[in-house]
Amino acid sequence: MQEPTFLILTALAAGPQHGYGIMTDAARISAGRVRLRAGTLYAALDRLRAEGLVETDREEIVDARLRRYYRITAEGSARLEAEVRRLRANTAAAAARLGIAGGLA
Amino acid sequence: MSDRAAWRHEQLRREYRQERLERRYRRLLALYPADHRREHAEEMVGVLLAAAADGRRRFDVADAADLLAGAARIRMRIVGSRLRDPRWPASSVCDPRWSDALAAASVVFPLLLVVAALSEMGLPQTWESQLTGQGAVPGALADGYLTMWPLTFGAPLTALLALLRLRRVAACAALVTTVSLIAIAPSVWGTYSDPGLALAVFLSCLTTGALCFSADPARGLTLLRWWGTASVAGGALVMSGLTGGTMWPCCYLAASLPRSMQSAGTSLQAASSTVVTVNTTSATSETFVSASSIGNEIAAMVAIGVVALVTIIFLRGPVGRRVMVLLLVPAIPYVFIVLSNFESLSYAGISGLPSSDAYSVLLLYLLPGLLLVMIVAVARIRRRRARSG
Repeated sequence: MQEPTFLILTALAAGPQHGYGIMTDAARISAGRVRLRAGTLYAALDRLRAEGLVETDREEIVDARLRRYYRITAEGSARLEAEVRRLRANTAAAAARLGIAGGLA
Repeated sequence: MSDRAAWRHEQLRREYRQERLERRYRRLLALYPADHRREHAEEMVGVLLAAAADGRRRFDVADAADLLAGAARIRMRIVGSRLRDPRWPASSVCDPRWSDALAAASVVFPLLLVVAALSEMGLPQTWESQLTGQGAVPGALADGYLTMWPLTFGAPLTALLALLRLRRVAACAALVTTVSLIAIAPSVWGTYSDPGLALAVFLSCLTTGALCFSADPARGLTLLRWWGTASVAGGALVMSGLTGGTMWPCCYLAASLPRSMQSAGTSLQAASSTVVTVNTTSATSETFVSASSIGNEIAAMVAIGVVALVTIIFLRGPVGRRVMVLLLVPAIPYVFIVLSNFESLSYAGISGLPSSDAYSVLLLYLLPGLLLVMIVAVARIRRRRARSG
């Protein structure tokens, strides 16, 4: 799973969010390291919706602008969970070999 | 008061900038697929402007590049999913009338290709000269029909595979026929400006297209029904037997042209020796060849016309009309050749095939090519209108 995808799913795992919300949340989750731009975000959302990992939640009009909220599907949660397990196993193995087991969680 | 005016001024400036920014982003969003734009353009503008409000008020080049990359990625994904469709590329033809027309064409065109192959190889003339012991024997068989292998083997094989409803294999055979026909043309015909060659190229090209884009030749067989198919095939074979031979009345029609025209044409023709004849010493046979070379083109045109007529008898309505439009494409070279031959006969006295100059190649291939492009374009525009309307 690519990092933008992982960050988008993580952002939505907490609850439905609109595009700009996902953007700021992704920056927060990655501690400002990853800044999703609109093109990347919507290309990823387009693919995730086609794969059934994300779906539209609701629409709102704020300041005459359309805001569409997205939520993660059960399949999306399962995929994210599998990715978390994979990453955790990898990081645990790496940490053990570096002798910093427990130092990183 | 001045404070308020300054505030107001600042407000207006901000609005103006925002509008300009929005316009520029919208221009980039136009690159997205129409469906995606309809669904997400407003939302994306909101996100882009919200991000811009976070300090960066100006048009961001990195954002613009990212939008371009996003559009490319979404389009690639759409193309990828279309290619993975097992019915591709037939699935890209949405109009059922065009889909049916292509299905019928995938049965009719391979048969027409066989007709074109037979008349181009001069089989009827050879048979006839063997039977009657006189007349012109074209060079095709004398040169060995193996050199014309795309026509000798490709055309009947394509027709057979199409009639056996093996769409993909038939499409491959048609494609190989088209490509090899174009590849061997310079060595066999010595020119591209041969009307028979142009006809065969366009027919095999259209056959490839029809087989690729039609849902199934089986559908075409259903539309034409077995007697329709039999009539088209029978008509095609009978007509191909008549094209070019002395049995064909058109030859006599051409032969009844004023004698002065004919003799002028004959002397020039003998000098340039563009038409292959067995007996060039006899004046009577020369006259016959110059007349029958026009007769050939007329006969081939009439042959196409008869097959078209048989097709439209069995396929009335919008589907038949569309098959007719497709039939127009290979017919253009013939119309052009016949017109130019008559013209040149009447005042220049040069009959037979046109010279192999770039002009006639352009007219032989560019006009039908343009028509083909126009047909596809019109069908696409109509589809788009139907979808949006």
